[in-house]
Amino acid sequence: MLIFKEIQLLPEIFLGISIIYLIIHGTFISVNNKYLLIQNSILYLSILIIAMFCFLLLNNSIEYNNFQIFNNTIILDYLSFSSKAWIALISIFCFLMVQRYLAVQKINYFEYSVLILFALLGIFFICSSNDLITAYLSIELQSLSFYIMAAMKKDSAFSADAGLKYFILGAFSSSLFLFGSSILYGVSGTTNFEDLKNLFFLTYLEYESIYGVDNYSFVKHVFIDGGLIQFALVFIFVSLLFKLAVAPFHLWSLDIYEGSPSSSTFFFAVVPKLAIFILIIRIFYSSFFEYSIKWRYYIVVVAMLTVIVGSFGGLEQKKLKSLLAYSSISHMGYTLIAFSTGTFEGMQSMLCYLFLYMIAGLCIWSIFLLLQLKYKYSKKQNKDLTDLNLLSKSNNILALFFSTVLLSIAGLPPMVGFLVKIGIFLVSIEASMYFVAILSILCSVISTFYYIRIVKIMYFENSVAGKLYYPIQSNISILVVCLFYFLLFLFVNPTLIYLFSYKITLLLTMTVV
Amino acid sequence: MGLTAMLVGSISGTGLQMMNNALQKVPLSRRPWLHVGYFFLGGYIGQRWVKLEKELVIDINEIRADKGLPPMIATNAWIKYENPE
Repeated sequence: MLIFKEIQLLPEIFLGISIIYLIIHGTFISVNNKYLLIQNSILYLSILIIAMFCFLLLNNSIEYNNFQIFNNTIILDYLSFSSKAWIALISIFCFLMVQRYLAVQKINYFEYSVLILFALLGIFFICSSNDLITAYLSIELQSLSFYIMAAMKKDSAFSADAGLKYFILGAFSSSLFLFGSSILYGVSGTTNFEDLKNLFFLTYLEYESIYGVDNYSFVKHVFIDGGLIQFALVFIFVSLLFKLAVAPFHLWSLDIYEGSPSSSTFFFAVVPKLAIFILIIRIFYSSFFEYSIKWRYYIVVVAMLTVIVGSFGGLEQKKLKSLLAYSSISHMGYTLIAFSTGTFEGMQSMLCYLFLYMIAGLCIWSIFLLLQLKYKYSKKQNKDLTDLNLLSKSNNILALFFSTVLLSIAGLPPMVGFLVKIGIFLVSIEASMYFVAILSILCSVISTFYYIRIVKIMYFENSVAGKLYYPIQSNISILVVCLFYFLLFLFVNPTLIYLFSYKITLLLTMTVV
Repeated sequence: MGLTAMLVGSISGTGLQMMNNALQKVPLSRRPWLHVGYFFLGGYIGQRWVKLEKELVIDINEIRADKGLPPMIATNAWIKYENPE
């Protein structure tokens, strides 16, 4: 029975073993100089491994059963199942998109794909973690891979700088997580989310009956008023906000997005956000739901600050990567607004927003990687906004795709971004957060400006001299078209995404809605 | 419903290849076998999409029933929602 239960972790076990195999395979082949493009073969193998992971995952019959394995440190429920499936699918697209970029930039190290797989393994474990220690180790596995990925371009000082900065700030945020966890362990004697939920789910009367009237004041102070617990939760929360690059902990992201190779930035921006949000849901929504009145205030403040910073910060940016970084910051703000409502609808909107954010992010970053400037600028990866002024003349359809996706993430009506954004505004109004709703709508309008500015540069600047782009290869362009089409189609028929997020939220909530 | 989805999927599949050709700045009819391939693939995906939606609605209604809730409003809206009461 025990073996049967733990076999549910087969996809992750398979991924772990495959990574070890890839390291051995890559090491043996790399010593042989005949194989110049080792990166490609390992990359294709990695895609195959992720596809196999998906296959194993989808054939696991988890559905409504919650498996808790390895001494309840890992949970396999529908939330983890669906998020892992989504992340795996997105990462296959990411792998396919970065392939050409790695060849052009001559990042011919097999370790790159292996590191991405390690990061993915960490991300999958974050989705399944049911314990603070497991969560910490998973975050570290993911982060350590990301630090190296940021510094992977050995001949670039910016890349090394980005890697070092990421490492130092990431280590700092991890230490905050550990500190918060240790306080929580000191107070409660457990690090398990399920135990914490059971511990803090008691009512005043139950506390009194368990601990007696004499000890009641101490118990009330520690458990019910939650002074120490709040203190611990703030540390954990700040650490997770660091990982999400949410204001006021966002400054690292700009430098790191700028300095890292674009393929790495692509992964940082798109893949890990959902997993961190799953962890936030598990800690704050499941385990400490009783404290929701208290933690909601922190989250609302941070979310508003993030939306404001993301909206105003992007206005002055000259580089496309920095602009996308600010865009990512503001989107995290909107997601946090939905989360801060603490309601069922808020949770559903948050998941919807995250799923669509990942698709839109994938589409934008894919187009960004496709834009390869001709001639002496061909290796330039950090594009200025003015580089786009001849894109509509160089490749009109690509400019059209880019504009459409930008307008979608800006939240303009005939796109799917509008649907999910208005969903967030509506849930915040339903939760009586009127001020938050009004402010976020205003910030959304402001942030639309910088998206429209790109469209203006692409279409309406009368420049005669500019930079032309290489034509796009057929095997990559179909992926971009698919993503673009998917974004358009989801506006016409978003039912599947809504049903999917509704089912996840329904299984997540314990209480009857 | 299934036929419509299949039709929409098939047309979208062919459109996808045309858009792909346009993106590569080649004639829209280039590689016609891919148009055919995506036509069938699109049709299959369209059908699967609708099937998945139906399966999700059934699952959700089962979970709601476990929690003592009525089925979702607008369940099978095309067919009409029947109130069990």
